[in-house]
Amino acid sequence: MGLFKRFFKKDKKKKKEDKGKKGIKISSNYNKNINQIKNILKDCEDVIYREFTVGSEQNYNFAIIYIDGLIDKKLISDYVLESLMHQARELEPNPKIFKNKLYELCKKGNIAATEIKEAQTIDEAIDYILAGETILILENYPKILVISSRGWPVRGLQEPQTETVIRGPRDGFVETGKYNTTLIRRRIRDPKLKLKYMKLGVRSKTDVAIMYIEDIANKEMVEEVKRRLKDIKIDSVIESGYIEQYIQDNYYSPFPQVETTERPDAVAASLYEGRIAIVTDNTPFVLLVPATLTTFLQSSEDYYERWIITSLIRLLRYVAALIALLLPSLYIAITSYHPGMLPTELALYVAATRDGVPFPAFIEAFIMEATIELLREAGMRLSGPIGTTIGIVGGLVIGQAAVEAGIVSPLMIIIVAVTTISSFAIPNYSFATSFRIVRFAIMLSSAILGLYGIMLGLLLLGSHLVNLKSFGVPYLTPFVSTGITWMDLKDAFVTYPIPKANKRPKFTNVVDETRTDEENTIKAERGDEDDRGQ
Amino acid sequence: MIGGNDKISNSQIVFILITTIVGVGILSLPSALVERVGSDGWISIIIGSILVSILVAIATILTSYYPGKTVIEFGREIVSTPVSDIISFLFIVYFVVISAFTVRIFAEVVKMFLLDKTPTEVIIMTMLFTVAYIVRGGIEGIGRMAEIILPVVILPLLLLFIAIIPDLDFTNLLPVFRTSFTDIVKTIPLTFFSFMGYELILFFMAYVDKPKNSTAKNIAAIVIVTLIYLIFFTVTLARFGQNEVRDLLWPSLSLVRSVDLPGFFIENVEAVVMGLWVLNVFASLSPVYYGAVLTLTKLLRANEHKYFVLPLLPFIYILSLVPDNLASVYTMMDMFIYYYTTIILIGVPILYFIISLFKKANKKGVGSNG
Repeated sequence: MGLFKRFFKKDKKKKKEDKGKKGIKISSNYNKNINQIKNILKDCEDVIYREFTVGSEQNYNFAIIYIDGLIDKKLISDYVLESLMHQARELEPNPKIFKNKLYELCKKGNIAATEIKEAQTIDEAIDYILAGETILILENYPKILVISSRGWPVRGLQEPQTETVIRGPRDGFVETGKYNTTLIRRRIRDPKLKLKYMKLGVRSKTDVAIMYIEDIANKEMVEEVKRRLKDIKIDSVIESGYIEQYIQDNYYSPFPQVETTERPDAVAASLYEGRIAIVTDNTPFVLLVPATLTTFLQSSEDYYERWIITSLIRLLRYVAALIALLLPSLYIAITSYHPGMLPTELALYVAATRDGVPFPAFIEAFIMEATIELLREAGMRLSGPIGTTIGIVGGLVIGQAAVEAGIVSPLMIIIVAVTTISSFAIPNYSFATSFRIVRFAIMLSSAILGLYGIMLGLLLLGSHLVNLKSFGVPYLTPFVSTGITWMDLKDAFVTYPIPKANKRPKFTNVVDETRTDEENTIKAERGDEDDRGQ
Repeated sequence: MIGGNDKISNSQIVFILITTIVGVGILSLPSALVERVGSDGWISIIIGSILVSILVAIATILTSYYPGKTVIEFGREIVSTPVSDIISFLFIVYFVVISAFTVRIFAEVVKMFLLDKTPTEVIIMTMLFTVAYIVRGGIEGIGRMAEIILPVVILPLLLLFIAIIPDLDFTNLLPVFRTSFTDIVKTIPLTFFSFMGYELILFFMAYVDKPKNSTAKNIAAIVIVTLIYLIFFTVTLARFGQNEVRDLLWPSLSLVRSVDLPGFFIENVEAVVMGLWVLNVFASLSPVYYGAVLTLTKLLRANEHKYFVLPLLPFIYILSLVPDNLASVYTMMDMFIYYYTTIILIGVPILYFIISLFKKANKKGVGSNG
């Protein structure tokens, strides 16, 4: 039996404990410090060293170091250099105090910047330089002052291209993490909105912010997000997609398990639902966890428009998802295996349109679906007028020509068109893409086993989805019963009038369950006694 | 990792029970009953369900004595390890054989209504692999799948039954109470074994997160199944009349096939019904398959069930191909059910329950003395 145990036990990797902060200590020798920094930043010609002397007798050596282009030069020259070089000279200070308290004076009295930090080691100082801060080295002091001076050109706020809305705010995230967190903060003026910074990527040291509302989000989940982020071992994080692939539960799945959005209002709404946002620097795409099937089928606009309209639209999306998934497969199954399913007239019509088509239904469908995918891909990379041209050439010319040449039946063109339109009716791009991938698999199984094949395909898909989780939350919530309410299930299909929808969705295991005020305070007093298992 | 803790809710057990019990049994139940007791079949359904409810109560209470343990584990405490392990082995055989029968009947039905040229072997193989995939995922996935499948199957069926109402002739249900009591008693084994699958309580209750009112909930599952059976029995009888039902192989299927939806796009609903039937069998087969895998895993005291899923598949596949034709499937199945499952399904829970009661009483006695 011991053998079995050894055979079946999962290897648990030992967590490597983070080593204590190492790095070169800052010495009190001014020249040594400068040289060490120069040594580390050798051949980085964008690093600027500005050395100057301070004091009425000009006997104190100072230096500021920064990277050209990453800082706000006006701030440094007007409020740091100006005050240090000129104003300090004008005074006639008590030399004793001046000598001993020079550092304190600089830190507290002389620099008119809004944020000042201290670096304890040379490496830390270099990290700050690379992040766009300016450092100030003083003679005879084993500490380095860090003056917050980040400033670089950013793209203005624009409406996100991938998630346009008819009604709703038009601002989208930009490439600067700080601006993005600000956009979220502006929508949640609650001291309970917490923000934790992390640096990811051994080389890129990308700033990543975890945002959540403390008394709504489930504590375990917040810890889990932090833990997974900490476990990321990678040298660079270029885009939030890198993080997404590290933190998702199952990377073999075709389905996205982390929601991405460019809309600050969508993030704010999700935070109020107890979800957790991960804001990555250098990308406008913010990650939201946990994500379930229903979150991908909802758009932020759903709650701005009147509820009857959006309820209908939401139901329409489910239909669209089903069509995008199944329509070509049904065509294949019915034409090749079960023509008797259709009313006689329709069956005859279908047979007539397929008359002369040299391919079996599967090949026919596959050719057309593949062409559409090619068109989509080509049109996406080409922007503006060229993209439109591709669309016209592909859609009109090829479609029309293919039918007239007798390669495909006109019905097939209709089916492909409807399928494609449906797949674009799914609000989330990556989710729609996964549906397209699965569609091809089901087409194949329906070509082999007809309707039975479609059912098997759906069952395999279902088996995959029921076992899929996003941060411990079943992907199919609220259709499966773990910790959900009737309200969640209704919200999956229809939207409610906002005044009636006073309960938060339960799938995130929220601490504070209601949206109305009085009950909030009661809950807050009671604390978090309700900690469900999953 | 949060989650992934192999816990299901009690309502998921209810869903699993319903989908498992209403498997292939529902196909032939009406005709088998009508053949023996005519229009009095509903009485034997009710009597059978009452007996099953008692057993379900016993099984549930038994599992509540040993929270977090399956019958394989607490069996070792009740009747020494070797005896319990032999019984566990019998359970594996039972699960494998039942899976084989189910998948064979399923394949025959699919062959008859959907794919007449496809070899039975292909249908059996593809279905078994599909089931194996969800079984690999474990009890959580099976529970959730049952939860999704049941409404998906039940709702369209209800719609079909509404459409069928004009065709019903309820005088076919008469006469009542014409059969002698002994004849009805003789059919009770038949109805009783239509409730096969309830024994999964012994295995799956161990995974229920915070069980509460489990006995009532599990009995509710049996009540729902009974209602489904009663509806199918009466509607079939009212639709076709005694003589026709007797001759039908699968009256339940013939029933839904006979539905003519007025003004509906699809000409015959046969294909739709077959789609639902695939779902139903899937939901019925996967818990049983998982039962076999789970028992084997626990029997060998292994930690991970995943490795035992595929090795069991060839056994089920070969066994399912043993009967030559459909008739011999049913004869063999009846033999197996009457002789083998009686011990397993009735004997084991009652035996375990009585012994564990004695042990409990003893313990209490010792405790108060000391």
